[in-house]
Amino acid sequence: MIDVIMVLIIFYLIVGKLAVDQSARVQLPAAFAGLSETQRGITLAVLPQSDAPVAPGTPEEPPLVLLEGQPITLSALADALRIRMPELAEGKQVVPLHLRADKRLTYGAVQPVIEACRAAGITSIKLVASRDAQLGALQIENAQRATMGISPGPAPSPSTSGGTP
Amino acid sequence: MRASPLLRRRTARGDYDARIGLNMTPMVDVVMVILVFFMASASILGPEWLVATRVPKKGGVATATDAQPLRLQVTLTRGADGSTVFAIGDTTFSREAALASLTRAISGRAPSDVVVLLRPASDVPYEDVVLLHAACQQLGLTKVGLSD
Repeated sequence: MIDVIMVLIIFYLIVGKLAVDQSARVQLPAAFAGLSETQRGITLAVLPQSDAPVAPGTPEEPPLVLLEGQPITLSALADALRIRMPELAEGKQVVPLHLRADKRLTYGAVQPVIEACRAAGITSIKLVASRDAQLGALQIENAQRATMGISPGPAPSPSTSGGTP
Repeated sequence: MRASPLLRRRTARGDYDARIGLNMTPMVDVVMVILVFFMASASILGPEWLVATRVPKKGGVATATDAQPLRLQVTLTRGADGSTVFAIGDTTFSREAALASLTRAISGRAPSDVVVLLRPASDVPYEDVVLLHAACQQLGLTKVGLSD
């Protein structure tokens, strides 16, 4: 019984840590093609400050940026990246940078983060996305229709243009 | 009155204590909990793709290659109805036709011979930027970058 209780305690410790780690809150955008994860990289997460839906028209507040799970300000990001990747000073990049940005954000919210990476000397970023085969099937079908000279596929419906459920 | 050990009756407890070897019951409990934990965490993570992008340095992205590469500049803007409008030069297309339009734009050139530079407007959903990257990835284009 002690064994079981101990394992349960460890289980809840880990789950609790996962819940605190806010990078788990990121809702990844969908992609239908990409590379499989091969090399462990430095993870940079960008997500909205709160999960509450933003009323349309209100200005977007600056997103929460997490470098390896730790919150960081935009101004400190470039220096922190240079410290973690010393090879950037020599103009090359060895460790990949994985950008886990939330799909609810606009590009304007993500752009300052990319600019900070650019300022740090990073030349290549890997955008992390969730796999979506359905989206890919639609895209490939439309591409095939286009090459055959048929009109470019079904009319866009609001459900498909607004992202995947 | 105490029974002598020799006369004690055979009990289930006695049988259990007399066994030699691994005690399976607690081990199975522990292993099952660990198994459930890993199953739960695996379903949380889900499968992921990585789409590569380049961030060319400020001012000039001139790459010296022997063959003149085809340079495609894709601009993303927000249309009047809130959906994203993709444009390569004067040609505009919607999200659904992203792969089809890119295929037409590169018009049979070798993927290594094409440079794609994205210029998204700041009010464009980040998801559409990723979608266009995925379309480039599908076509085998490796030189895809985000302009400043």
